[in-house]
Amino acid sequence: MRTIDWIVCIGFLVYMVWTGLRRGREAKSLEGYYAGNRRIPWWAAGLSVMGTQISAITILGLTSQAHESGMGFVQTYFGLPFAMIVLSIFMVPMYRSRMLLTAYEYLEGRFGPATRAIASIIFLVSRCLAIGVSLYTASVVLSAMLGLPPWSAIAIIATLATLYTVVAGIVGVVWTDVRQMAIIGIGLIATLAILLHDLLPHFGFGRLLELAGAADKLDAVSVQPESTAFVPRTLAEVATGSGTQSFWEQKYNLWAGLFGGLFLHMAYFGCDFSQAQRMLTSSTMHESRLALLLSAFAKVPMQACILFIGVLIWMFYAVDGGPMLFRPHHVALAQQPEYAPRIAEIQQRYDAAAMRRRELMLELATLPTISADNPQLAAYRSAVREVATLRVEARRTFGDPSKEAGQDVNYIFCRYAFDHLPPVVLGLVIAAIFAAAIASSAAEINALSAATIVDLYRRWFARRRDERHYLVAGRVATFVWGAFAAVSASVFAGGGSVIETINMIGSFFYGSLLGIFALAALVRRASAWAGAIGLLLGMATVFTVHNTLKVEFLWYNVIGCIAVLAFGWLVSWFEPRRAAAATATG
Amino acid sequence: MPSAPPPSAPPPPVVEPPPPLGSWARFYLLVAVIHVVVVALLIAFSSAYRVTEPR
Repeated sequence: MRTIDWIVCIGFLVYMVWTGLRRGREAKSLEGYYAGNRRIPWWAAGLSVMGTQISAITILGLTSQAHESGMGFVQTYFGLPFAMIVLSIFMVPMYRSRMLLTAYEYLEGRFGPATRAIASIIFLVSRCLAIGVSLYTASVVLSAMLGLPPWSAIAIIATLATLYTVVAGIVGVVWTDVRQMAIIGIGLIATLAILLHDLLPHFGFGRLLELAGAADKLDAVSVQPESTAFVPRTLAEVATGSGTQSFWEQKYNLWAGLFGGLFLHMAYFGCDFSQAQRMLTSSTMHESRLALLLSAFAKVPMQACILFIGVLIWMFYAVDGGPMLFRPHHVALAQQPEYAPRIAEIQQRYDAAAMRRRELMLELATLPTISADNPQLAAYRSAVREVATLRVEARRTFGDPSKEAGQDVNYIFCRYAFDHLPPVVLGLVIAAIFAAAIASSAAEINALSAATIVDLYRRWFARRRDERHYLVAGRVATFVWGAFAAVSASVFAGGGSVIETINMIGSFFYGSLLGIFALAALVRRASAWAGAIGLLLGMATVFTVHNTLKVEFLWYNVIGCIAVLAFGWLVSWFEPRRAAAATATG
Repeated sequence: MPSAPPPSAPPPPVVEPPPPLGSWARFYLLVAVIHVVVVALLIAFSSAYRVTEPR
């Protein structure tokens, strides 16, 4: 990076951390530390909801995923606005009915302390697994692209996030999220403008879309599922290659996005406390609802824009001649005598295929219209596939194909940014990636600290202490979770598309959490045993399905939620009536 | 510093009755309609640029 980019990047990060730190005076009690004294305006809480979800993963993972396989991922968000409406109607009144500091406190009033503790522990486990993955993505930028060791990048992000979260709590988190959203908006709009500036001299905008579409990059919505067989295959059948592919195996289509996505987002925004915390920070129920509905309006168009940037990067490389290997580690391996001859041979074929793709693309750009039976179009599509196949072949040279094949994905956006963005803009974009990583880690650390102190420490281990004691304990817990995040980031650093990994980790747990809140709202007779047993059996069902059937992770949320409701309802019939009546009013 | 109330009991209810659904229903409908339009546009965009090779 150039000096000016360093100045822009570091300058913004200092400003962001200072913004968080100076809010520390507002955190003089647990109310201030975990609920922002319930004085945060709806638009800031709404931007914070979006900012917590837009981590470095969103920028790195989505753009790279669109580069590789098109815009289909946008379908995952199709259920989100409906989820926000359902949460607004049912969850906001639940959370605003008492002066709660965590979402799981509500469950104690409804099902008793055991269910509250189980739900809180499920959140702590799922979030502490995911926090390592999300922290790792930003370390990809520093370690791989700046030549720093991975631990140093992880340490910087975790330190900055922990610093202002320890001091200012949720207020610091929310107001830094607002800055994060601003820098992400500026960075992405600048990148989009630069890509269009570079591409439009070669094609008109309409032709650019046609050529990207011909390469299957604009296939955003798949209305017709690949299979309409609704009986899922077992993993044994998948291993032996028998049975037919079922509806539940397709990762992205309209129906998985609408229904699987609806449950995923209801669970994530409503029951994952790193998000649900925002519903507790506004002054009124009205403001809490507006904060949620901001995402309902903005999320899908914004994700579509981020994915479109990934498509434009693909187009840019198709014209400019992109690298065969994006990951610096692979580039270094390719120089070693062990791999060099094989890589050189693949590189030769890759260069020829990439050149053929470019020529065909530019030829097609000059035609007045492109018909589906045009032979040049078929040749172009064939060249596109050949280039993609050669990239996979090159990566497989380095070892285990199942692992290595996916490991290029998260480096594509960074490679483009470092090689082609002009001064200042690169600094802004790298600052946006850092800010996203820091801000979402801070939100997670604060929520983990709240669940630890309010649901476990204050509830079970240290009752009747004064407010100062709990505030100090909250700050210590925040610090410990920050340190844990840094350590787990090193441990969980893995391959594949990280955004999918995060959603998959969440899907293991979130459906069951949603189920317990749904049980509270829908089954009046359900009480302590129904809540606790329903929750545990719901989790067990998801793990059983995961280990026996071939079902995509988005559906785990639906399965977990329905299983908790079903088991909870069943158990409620065996509970003593008096207990049910007593707790139902609780 | 006075001691905090026993935390074992659930926090007391806040006097904030939920507003009637009707006052929000039109806004929810607006959000849903806008989203359906956005999805319809994406479906149209997707099929407009999809290439099906002749057999």
